[in-house]
Amino acid sequence: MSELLLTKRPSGDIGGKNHKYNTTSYLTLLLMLCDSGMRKHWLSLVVNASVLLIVLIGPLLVVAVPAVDLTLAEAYTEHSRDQSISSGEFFVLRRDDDHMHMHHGAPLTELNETAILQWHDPTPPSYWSIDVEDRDPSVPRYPELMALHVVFMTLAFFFALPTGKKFIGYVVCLQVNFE
Amino acid sequence: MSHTGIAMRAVNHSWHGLVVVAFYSLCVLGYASGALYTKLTPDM
Repeated sequence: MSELLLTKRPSGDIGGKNHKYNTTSYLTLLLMLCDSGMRKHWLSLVVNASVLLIVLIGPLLVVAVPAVDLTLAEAYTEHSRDQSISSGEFFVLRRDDDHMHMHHGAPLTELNETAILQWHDPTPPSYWSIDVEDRDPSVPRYPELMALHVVFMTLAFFFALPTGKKFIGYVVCLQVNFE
Repeated sequence: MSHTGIAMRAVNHSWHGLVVVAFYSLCVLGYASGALYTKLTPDM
């Protein structure tokens, strides 16, 4: 399972930058919550110390991973596709062996769409294309309902949710929280 | 109280409750229209 997770990480993400960013921001948020909510100082000290420790140590662990990642990828490149499917290692192989990323040599000048369709379902048409652009008159469609959905959700989350006295929204709420 | 109507809650505005009700009703309407669209459109 751990091997699978390691090799499934996007190859551009060497050093786990995205992962590190996510963890850090998440923990920073946690830290802020602890600071604002906790009355007992010793408790907040214990929580903050351990969170800080994770923030500092975590990225180091993530940085250590790509070495393992690369050796695994090299080892699996030796297998053929058929072998890997039959041996159940298909998911581990998929990204770097068969996925048309070539890290050595010239880049592809033409995208092999047939090969893509072998691994992925074709992209379904968008709501816009089935309702408006390529609308089939014989089939009933309800683009009005989708429009309503968009309007209501926009009003709810971009207007009602952050509303303030003079509609300064998120700015006010951030200032108040940090004071 | 509820976390919706963030700025009004922060300044203890008296209309905060109204905005929270508006938020939840808009959510219900939004989800309802979305669900209805999915139900009515064939092959969805």
